[in-house]
Amino acid sequence: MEKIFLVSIYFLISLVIAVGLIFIHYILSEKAKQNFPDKFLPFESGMTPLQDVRGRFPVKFYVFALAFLIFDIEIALLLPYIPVVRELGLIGLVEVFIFFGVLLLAYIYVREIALKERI
Amino acid sequence: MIVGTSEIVGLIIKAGIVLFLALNIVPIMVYAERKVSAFIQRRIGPEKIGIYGVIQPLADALKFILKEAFYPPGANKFFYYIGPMISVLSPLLAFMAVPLIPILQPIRTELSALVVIAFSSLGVWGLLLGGWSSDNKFSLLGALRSSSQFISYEVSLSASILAMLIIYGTFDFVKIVEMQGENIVKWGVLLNPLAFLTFFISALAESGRIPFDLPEAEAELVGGYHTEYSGMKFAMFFMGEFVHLALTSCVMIILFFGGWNMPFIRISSLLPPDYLFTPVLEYAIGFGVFSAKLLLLLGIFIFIRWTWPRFRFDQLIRFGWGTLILLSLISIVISAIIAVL
Amino acid sequence: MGRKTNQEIFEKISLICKGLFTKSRVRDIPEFVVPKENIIELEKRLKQDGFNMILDLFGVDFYDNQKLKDYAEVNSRFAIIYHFLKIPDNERIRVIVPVEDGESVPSSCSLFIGADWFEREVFDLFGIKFDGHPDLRRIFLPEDYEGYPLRKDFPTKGVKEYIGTKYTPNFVRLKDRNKKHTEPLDPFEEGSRMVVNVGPTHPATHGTFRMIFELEGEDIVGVDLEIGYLHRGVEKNSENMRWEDFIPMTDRLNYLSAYLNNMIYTEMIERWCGIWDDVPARAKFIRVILGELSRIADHCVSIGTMAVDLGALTPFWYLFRLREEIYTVFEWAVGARLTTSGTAFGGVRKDLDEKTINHINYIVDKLVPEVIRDVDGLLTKNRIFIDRTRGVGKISARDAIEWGFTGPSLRGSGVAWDIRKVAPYGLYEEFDFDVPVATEGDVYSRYLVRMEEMLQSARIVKQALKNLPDDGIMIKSDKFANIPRLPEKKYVYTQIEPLIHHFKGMVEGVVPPFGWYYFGGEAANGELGYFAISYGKRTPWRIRIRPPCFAIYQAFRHMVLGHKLADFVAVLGSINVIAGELDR
Repeated sequence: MEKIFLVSIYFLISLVIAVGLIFIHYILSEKAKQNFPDKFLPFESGMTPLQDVRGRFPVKFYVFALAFLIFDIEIALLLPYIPVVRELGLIGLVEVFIFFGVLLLAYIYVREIALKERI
Repeated sequence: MIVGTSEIVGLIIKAGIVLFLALNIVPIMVYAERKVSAFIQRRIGPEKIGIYGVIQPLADALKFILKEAFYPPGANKFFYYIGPMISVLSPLLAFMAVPLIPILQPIRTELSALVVIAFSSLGVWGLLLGGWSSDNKFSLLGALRSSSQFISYEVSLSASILAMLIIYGTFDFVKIVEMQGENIVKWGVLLNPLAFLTFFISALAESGRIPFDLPEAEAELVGGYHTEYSGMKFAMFFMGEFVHLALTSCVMIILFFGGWNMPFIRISSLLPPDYLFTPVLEYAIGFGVFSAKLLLLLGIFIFIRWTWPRFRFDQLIRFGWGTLILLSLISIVISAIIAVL
Repeated sequence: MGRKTNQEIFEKISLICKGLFTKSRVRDIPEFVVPKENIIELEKRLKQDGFNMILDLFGVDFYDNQKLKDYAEVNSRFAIIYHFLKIPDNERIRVIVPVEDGESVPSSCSLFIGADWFEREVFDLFGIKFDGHPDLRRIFLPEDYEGYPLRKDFPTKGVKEYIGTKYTPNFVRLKDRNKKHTEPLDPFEEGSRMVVNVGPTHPATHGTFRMIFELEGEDIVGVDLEIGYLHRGVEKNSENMRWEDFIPMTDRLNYLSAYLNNMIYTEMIERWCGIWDDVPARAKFIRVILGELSRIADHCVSIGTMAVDLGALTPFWYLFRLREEIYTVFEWAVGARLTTSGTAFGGVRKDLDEKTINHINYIVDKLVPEVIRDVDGLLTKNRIFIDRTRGVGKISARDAIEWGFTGPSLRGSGVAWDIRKVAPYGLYEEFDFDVPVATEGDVYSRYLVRMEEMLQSARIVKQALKNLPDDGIMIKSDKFANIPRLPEKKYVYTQIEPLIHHFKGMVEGVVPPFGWYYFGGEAANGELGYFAISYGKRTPWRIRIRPPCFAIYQAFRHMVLGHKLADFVAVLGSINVIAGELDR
């Protein structure tokens, strides 16, 4: 219980630092003025932008995120194994092998099929 | 009171010191990078300000603070400001569980490895939000690519850490360092070299430095996710990157290189046992050893940056998913075998 | 070697193309006057005979100069002049097509694809249309510009002030090309093409030119190029200056290797006026030395900036240290670092003194091998660099010749073609050097070719320095009546003859004989050709510059289609586009 309190104090200190940096910058700098008509346009190598940005973007990035999710969950599921490695001994090892065997199938799928055309 | 006043005061002092050190890595890195890169490129680097140019980072910081506070009109105001803040916050928060020396761990916990993995993964949010909220096609594309890169290498990073944790059997960084001791044979790098290799490469990729710095590749997408940022907000992205680099280097030293142990020599055997200041001296020497290892590691990262070209995005992803994850998963299996036998 | 002489080529072509041309003669190369209806048929027959490259295509405006029209044996106001080249045998012919104002000429693009941008340039600057051209638009000037600058009735200072940059892109798309797209185009992704503008100000473009890409995710599926940001009207300006005054203008073409441009121009005038043999050997050797040094400097920039774009930030510094030393040599030998203007008609202006020669020795003996070795160690076997450049921007030998490539880009595709070896000029036959040729045709091959060329250039300079003869640096003959070397001031102020010579020399300068002449030499990027028309007065009637990277850059669209966005920087860096040369 007390750890949460301490962590939140630490969090507060870090937050103060981060916000403080932006705050100093905000106070000490001059606000951007419209010196010339093109100033506040998004940057596109010196020309006016040709397209609106809120269009579509490729779906492969979403696929990367999904694949990451699978493997991240797997890592998270392995975490409880760590303190009890030596206790579980050989049987635990065999179970880890089975776990990885199933995971290997998922990995092969991701590598060969899901990501092949996307990259 | 849930916690005693002395604990709060202790926390504030430790947090202050650790955060101060973590933030001060940034100017040291900036200066070191410029001097080392100049050395590699056969030139001198900054030398006008201060002796040998040591005040250069201060001048840079002042420049960033005093720059014009530009704000693109089409941008989403909240996320535009949140982006760099998250980028800086996440490695700073992860430092709460990293012991530079045993007493200098702000939050004394047995789950320090978990805390570090958890908080350092948050950094991706910063650049994703920052890139999307600036109303610019290049920023969006850069943010998407860099976040894909980061999460792809996140898996192998976590897997390598997991591999080492399996060998040690605990999440606690302090215990891990004590288990390594001063005998080099027991250091992590020799216990599971495959895990070290994958960790090193993943750490390079996670920090977004060359050869993995496609997100910031100037030649292709001008600025990537930080095109529309200027002044301190821009600097905060880079501060976040450097602090993240320092964080992964610290983790690397703790897991693989024995933390604050000097190789071959047990520190406490050097000092007279009954002397009043023995623990202080012990910690001081440990701190010095840790810093030396940290600076050496950062130097290696800088060297790598200025020597090699960068990967193309699809080559990067192919390498990360194809080769690196496989190797890191294999290293977990190897660790499990080593630990049991 | 079995090379045919001009007379033999002339007879062979006269036989092959019987009935197609109206007049023919042999001047510096065989010339044929062909009416525009027959031009396609003529090109077909030339292609059958083996002429595989269209070297140059440009227009001339004779306006009302009857003497020139008689010289050319045409009766119309304009003429389009084609230069054809047969690659392994170095056979060249010139074809002249008379055109009146308002008429249009059939386009050669279907037969020689490299005529693409050249015809656009003629349309832009002269207003002559080409039927059947896939994309006839203005190339240098904005779309809604009024007037055609290179016509004689267009004043040099322009008609009215024009401000603006109107340009609508016209993309070359992946389906247009017969290249197989390795991944099937998803119907869902059809509408998600993103248009990205890699504009005139962008860290990757070494110069001011603009590229517009259509992207689907990472793949480039449509490209359009816009050039003309550095168009200064060099050819139009030349009509108002003396022949010597044009030498500084040639500096500013490929400004990275300015001395080579000077050297080729000066040699053209000297060969044309017939004084080439009287130019002292020492002057020719000095030109070769400084020319090869500037070639090394050009390749330094090309490789350095390509490496920087790919992320390798260190080779740039090593190569630029070499370039700094070469700049120092130029400053001592010629007086300027970048825009050298080092040659003069009849020789060189300044001799190389002891200090300069020692420095050049230091550069070629110690510095060049050391720098090349360092850069080699950093890049050539580096796995990341090879992954980025192997197989990227591939162009086959046949395509390269069709597009009009010359120079390192052509040698990177496996064609052994170097004018210094094939048709030696400037005393290159005295030197023993090799010409590197790579086989693959991708970015990595061009990089290797450029690296090796630097070493070979150093070899040439070493030999030249060792055998430097001692017979003066400026011509002594008085065949050249308008003396390029002005008499000394103390005589000018006291005696009448030197005064007259000085006056004539300053006011008139050199006047080549009536007619025209073409000369092409090996500049850093390929064959830099000058075609000049003189009508007997102190200013030229027309000077045409055939820029090497103009022909190469028009193929960029096809080299880059189907690759990823990150590849275009590698391809652009390897073909070394210099805006000064591209736009003139």
